[in-house]
Amino acid sequence: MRLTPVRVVLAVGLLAIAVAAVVVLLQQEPRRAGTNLTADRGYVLALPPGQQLCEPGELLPGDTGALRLDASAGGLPGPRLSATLSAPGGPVSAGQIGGGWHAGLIVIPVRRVAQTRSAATVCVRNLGSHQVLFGGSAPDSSFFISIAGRPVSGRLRIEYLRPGRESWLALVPNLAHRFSLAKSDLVRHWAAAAALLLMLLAVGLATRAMLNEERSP
Amino acid sequence: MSAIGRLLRRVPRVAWLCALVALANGLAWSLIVPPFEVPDENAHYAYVQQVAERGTLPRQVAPEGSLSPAEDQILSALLTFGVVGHRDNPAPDTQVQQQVIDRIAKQNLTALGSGDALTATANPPLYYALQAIPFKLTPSGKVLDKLQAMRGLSALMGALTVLLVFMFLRELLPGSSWAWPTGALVVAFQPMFGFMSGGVNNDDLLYLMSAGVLWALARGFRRGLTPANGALIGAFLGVGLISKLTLLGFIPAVALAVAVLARRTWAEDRRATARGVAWAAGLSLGPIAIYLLLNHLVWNRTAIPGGVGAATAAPGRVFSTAEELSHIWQLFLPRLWMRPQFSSYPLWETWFKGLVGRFGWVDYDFPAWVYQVARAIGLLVCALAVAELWRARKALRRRLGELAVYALAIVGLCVEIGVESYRSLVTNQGVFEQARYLLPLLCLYAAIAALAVRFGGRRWGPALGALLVVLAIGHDLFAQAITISRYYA
Repeated sequence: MRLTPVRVVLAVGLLAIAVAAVVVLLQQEPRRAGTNLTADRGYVLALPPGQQLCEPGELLPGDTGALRLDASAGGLPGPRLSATLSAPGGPVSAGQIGGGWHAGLIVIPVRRVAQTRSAATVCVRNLGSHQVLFGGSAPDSSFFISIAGRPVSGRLRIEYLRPGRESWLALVPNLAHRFSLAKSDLVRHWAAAAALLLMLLAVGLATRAMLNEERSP
Repeated sequence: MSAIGRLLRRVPRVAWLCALVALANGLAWSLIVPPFEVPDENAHYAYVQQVAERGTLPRQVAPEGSLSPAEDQILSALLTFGVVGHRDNPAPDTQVQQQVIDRIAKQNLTALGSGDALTATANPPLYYALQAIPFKLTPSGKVLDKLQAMRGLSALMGALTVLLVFMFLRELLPGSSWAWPTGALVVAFQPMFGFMSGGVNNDDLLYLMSAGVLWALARGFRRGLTPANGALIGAFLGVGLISKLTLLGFIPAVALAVAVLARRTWAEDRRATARGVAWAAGLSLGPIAIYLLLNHLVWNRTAIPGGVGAATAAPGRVFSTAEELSHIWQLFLPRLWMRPQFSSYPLWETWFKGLVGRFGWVDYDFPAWVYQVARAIGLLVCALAVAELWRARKALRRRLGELAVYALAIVGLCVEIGVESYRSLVTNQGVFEQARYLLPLLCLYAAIAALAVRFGGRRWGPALGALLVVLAIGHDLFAQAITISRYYA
């Protein structure tokens, strides 16, 4: 096979794309198990010191190993916070974060939750001596949470993280499963594989078109 | 063999390959993007549902009516409005949520709604009439099955668009066959185009018809205004206008083209020229005239609902022609001395970054560095294209009329978008403009790539073309990766 400039460019270019894909696939990061689909409209929920915030009606995804919240202690180092997760059958998990965190996204590690649980309640207790503000949506006509035992119209934004750090490659089975949800029954069980095959076909046909035209006058 | 058969046989094999690439890419996007996450897909689906189930067009219902129990319940189960516009919220990702969707699908809820199709209500019906075919042919009554089948038809429209882009380049640059697939493939892998081709939106038919108009014009400039070419121009424009009224922006360019072409051939063959003009005018105006009549007589809708004409300004706002002109100018060009109309620079923020990629309901995009890299590559490609035009300036001088037509197509489309943008701003303080509205110019996008490749000459041009195609593939795959990350990670 003759090595022409077009062949070299196509080979090197496609190889570069493949290498970039592998590099991205191997990157390890904390990965999400799910969210409660609540918009973070700023620090709208205040939790006084020593008090507890409880949010009922949560769909607790399986494989949850931590909660990610948007929190601020008003410029001070953040106090210690504890989290408890319970479902209709009783407590499911718990965990805490030490003091000294800075405003922004904080992660409270909890014991791994194996199975998805509906109608769960997530409670966060402020174990420090000053108020903490949380990101979420308030007022929110559809939801009530309790803060210090009193009902408040609003909802805390919660991201449920999987335990530890994972590469995209390790997450592929989960991605394939999520890909199969909330789609047409006609395609959902093979959508991930089909999308991959279609893109391989597209790249193959494009390569063929370029090689064909290389020979044209 | 029929005339269409002969015409199809003349399409080069490589053009079909490029179309197949677009089909595969569009279908892949249709599987990757979750249901109803393409802009206004809920409204477009509702329009098709109205056409297919009731055999009528939608109408505005005040206050905004329900779409149909079947569609509304599925939108709710998909948590659509918790995901749309919130880039940190993924698509439903638990089996519990899937069970809710299954439960609703089994309820066999009615597909008859209030007759409202939200933002799509005012659109002309052609795209929706075509989509009613997969809607009806889908054996199950499930909303998601019907939507997926309709997405398949949109992907097919995307493939035909790329075929016409190829044919346009073939007429535009007849001596450079090796540059045609580059232009067509750069379009086939354009991520914004792929994303739209994978969804249900009447823009898909608009892109197809726009590419058809530009192909027909290029063909007319190369082969003369024969009756057949006149009919081709008129048919694409006429059918395009009843696909989406955005194509009104092409009317000045088509009128100029027909005038220039008629002037060229008038002396040689008056009869054929007159027939060419008549076909172009008749087929351009016929469908829209019938549409207006049906709107008035049968469907009881205003002449061009939401298209052109007066709109009521919101309290505290008034229409001002001077402000409108300034708005249209600033939407695409530097502000100069005018009073600011935008808080950002739309040429960069809306158009360039949007075309490079801003997906979903305009709620997620690439990392910032991608746009900087794209700008450098874009400037380089444009510079090569301009250099090629300069090198071919003698030939270009002979084709100034044709160049003016393409330039007028750009201006006309921009003005049309600008007018809509200003109307939206004044009537409801809304932001109308999105980069996808520029995709009717895909042929010219492809022409820039093909011209850049042509600058490389026969020796280096094909390698340059291969490089552009590889970059386009990388761009598209990256866009799909951020889409997977947005909705599933």
